Amino acid sequence: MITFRDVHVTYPTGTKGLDGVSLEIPEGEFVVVVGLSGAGKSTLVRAVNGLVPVTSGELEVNGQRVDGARGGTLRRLRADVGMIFQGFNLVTRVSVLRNVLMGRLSHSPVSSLFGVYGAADKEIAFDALDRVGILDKAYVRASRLSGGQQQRVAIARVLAQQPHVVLADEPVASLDPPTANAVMADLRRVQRQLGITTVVNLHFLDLAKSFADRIVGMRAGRIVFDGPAAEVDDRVFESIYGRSLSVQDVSTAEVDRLT
Amino acid sequence: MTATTTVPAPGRAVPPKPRPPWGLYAGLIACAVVTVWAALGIEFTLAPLFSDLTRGREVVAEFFRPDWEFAWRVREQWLETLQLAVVAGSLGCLLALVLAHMASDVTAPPWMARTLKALLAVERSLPDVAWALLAVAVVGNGALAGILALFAFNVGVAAKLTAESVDAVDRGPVEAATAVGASAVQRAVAAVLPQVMPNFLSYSFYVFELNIRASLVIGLVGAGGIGQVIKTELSRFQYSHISAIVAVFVVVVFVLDQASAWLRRRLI
Amino acid sequence: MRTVGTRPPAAGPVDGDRPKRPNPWRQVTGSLVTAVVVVLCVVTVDAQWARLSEAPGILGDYLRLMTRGVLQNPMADPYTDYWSKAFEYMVESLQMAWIGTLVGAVLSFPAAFLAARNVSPRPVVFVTRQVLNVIRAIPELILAIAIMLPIFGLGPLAGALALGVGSVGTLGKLGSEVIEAVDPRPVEAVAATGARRLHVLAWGVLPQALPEIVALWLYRFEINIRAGAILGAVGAGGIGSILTQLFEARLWDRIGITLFLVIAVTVLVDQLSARVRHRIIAGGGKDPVAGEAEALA
Repeated sequence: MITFRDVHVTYPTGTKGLDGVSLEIPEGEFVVVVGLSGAGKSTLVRAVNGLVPVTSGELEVNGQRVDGARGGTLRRLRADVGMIFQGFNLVTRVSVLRNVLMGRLSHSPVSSLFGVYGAADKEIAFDALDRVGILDKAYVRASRLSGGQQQRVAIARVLAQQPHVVLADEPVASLDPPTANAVMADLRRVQRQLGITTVVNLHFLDLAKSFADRIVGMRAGRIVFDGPAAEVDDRVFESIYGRSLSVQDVSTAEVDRLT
Repeated sequence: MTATTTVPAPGRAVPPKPRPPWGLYAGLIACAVVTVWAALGIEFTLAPLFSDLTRGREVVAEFFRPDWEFAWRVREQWLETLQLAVVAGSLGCLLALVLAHMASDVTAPPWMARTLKALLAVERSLPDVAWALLAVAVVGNGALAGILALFAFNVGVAAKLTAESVDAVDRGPVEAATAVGASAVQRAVAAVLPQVMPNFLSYSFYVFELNIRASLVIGLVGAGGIGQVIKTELSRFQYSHISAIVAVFVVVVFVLDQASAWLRRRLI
Repeated sequence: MRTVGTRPPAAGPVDGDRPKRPNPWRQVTGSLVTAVVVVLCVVTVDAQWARLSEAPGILGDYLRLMTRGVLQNPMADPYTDYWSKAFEYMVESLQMAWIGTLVGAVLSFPAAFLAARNVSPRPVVFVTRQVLNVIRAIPELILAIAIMLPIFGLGPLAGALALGVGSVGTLGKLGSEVIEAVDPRPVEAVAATGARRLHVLAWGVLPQALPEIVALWLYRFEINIRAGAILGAVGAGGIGSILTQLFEARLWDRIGITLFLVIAVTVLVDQLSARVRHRIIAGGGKDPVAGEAEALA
């Protein structure tokens, strides 16, 4: 459960990221945020785990206030919220397993400093890798994997956190369309299995429509559309993007593989 | 032919000549002035090379009759040189690894990084010989002074190089670690350390190599190692002894240099 | 709240089917050997560790004496003299380093071209590289003792020349790497105009490589200021000569003044040189040669 109440975010440069956003995302929902770049979708997602500090308003995750949280409180909150990045953000020099174990950092604060993780933590990491289908790569260097595999490692890292909320900031923007589709399908499948509340930023509208429970459209830091994926049509699209649909907004001509 | 190239066609707009680079000229003139001033200051002349070459002939000739047996006789000092380099290098690099993380914006708050970087710059501005003189004054002649001097010298070099590697680290994993809820220390260990480790190892080996080189300097002021032998032999004008040691020394440094280049290629 | 236990099992292999950790014998042996060598050295080295306990106290005393020297009114007698003496020697150190670097630059310039694979034939490259490597292995101190002092006599000239010859190795090697990194297309273009080899070098290679080569010279100048300090200890001039004398006489106030000056001037020159290097290489940002250069100096 994520609740925004009139949340404003203003960057130190004076740029407005969020301009009075109120939003409620119930537990277990898969929400996709769409909008032009600069519309504030990234800010919205990053505000949830405090990577971007909220300027005013209230932001709650599972009953915990994010705005104003600092230090240990913020770290505990983040441990419960997984995040997937556009650039995968893996430590490419070390093994896949070691990357996934990063998700267990807050559970073994001392021993992790020496690279030592318990058998239980390792089992959780293996299980996470298994869920995204790359268990056999556990001891391979992350740099040796393809982009799609690397993003699956990042998803496994998030799963190893055993989070209640997952955030994904343009998770497939660096991947080619078929791979993007497959990775989104993986994310959606795992999300359904575990019932994790998930907020994803997507640039491509077709991917959004095929995977989301609910779509939130943003423009200039405000929410301009909020409704079930099925309700999104060309008219809605124009209200979000300020123009009509073009080829660049679609990842593939035909996406029908709904998992 | 020539006419077409030298006489511009009438009415053609030739771009105006760019302003001369006065800054560059000023810089060049300044360099020339400094050079003349420095040359006068140290009474620069190459004349002795032609006229007084004989003055150093005996010494130079002695140098070509190395006493190999002597180089073996001082094996204990060679060993001590090695010990000093290893002890000071390993301790210095360990401390430097911690300091480097505290001296980078990536892993430390900006005020701390800036302060520490400035402190390290001051620390590095003292040459190895100054550290050695200071160490000998504080703990007396011998290996301990050598260890302290090299240690001080190593921390500065290794910390600076490693801090630059930390600065250049890929920020993505660091952000990911933050999002996972990692503390500052966990972030450094899980996301930064694996990235800088290859560089750090190669710097450590480089520091070890530097220590072997510096051991001459260190010993010359009484802080142990092979340099101390050179000092003694120098005062006894035993150039054949010195040349044997120097020859071995050069070979050792040469080999270390190649090994370190090889290691760098393997690690990075 | 959902708990871990309620997770549905993942499809695929169950416990016991986990991939086996590859045997990390190389890292393990590497770390073990290093650890053993370090411990062995720490244990066997003939250092009087006990003296460490008194060291902080003694160092504190000395530091106090040095600070007192620095804080005395530099306009009062004898301190004016101390400051000016120290300054004189520091200036001599700078002069030595400058001339040394210049000598090194002049000598290494052709060597850098001879050692660059994209300019010279293979055998020439090989021979030049080996010569440069050997020079790099000879410490300036040895050059001073064995060659320069006997020929040029005591004084800063011997020191400057020792620094100069000592710089050739590093400058030549790093210079050749700069030349090898040059963009081959403009070089090809110049060659395509039918230019002679020397012209190709002058118009195709040099304009690209010169800024970075000059930056290397400046970097070497910074290093030579430090390297020159030791040469004073054997009579080759510069700040090192007065420093060793002062330490022998334990004149802590003057040592303080001298060290203070060394730090101030070195930091100043480093900053200045770094700024000029950034300007030369253009664009500012991170200095591309510094790290590499220092790692080979």
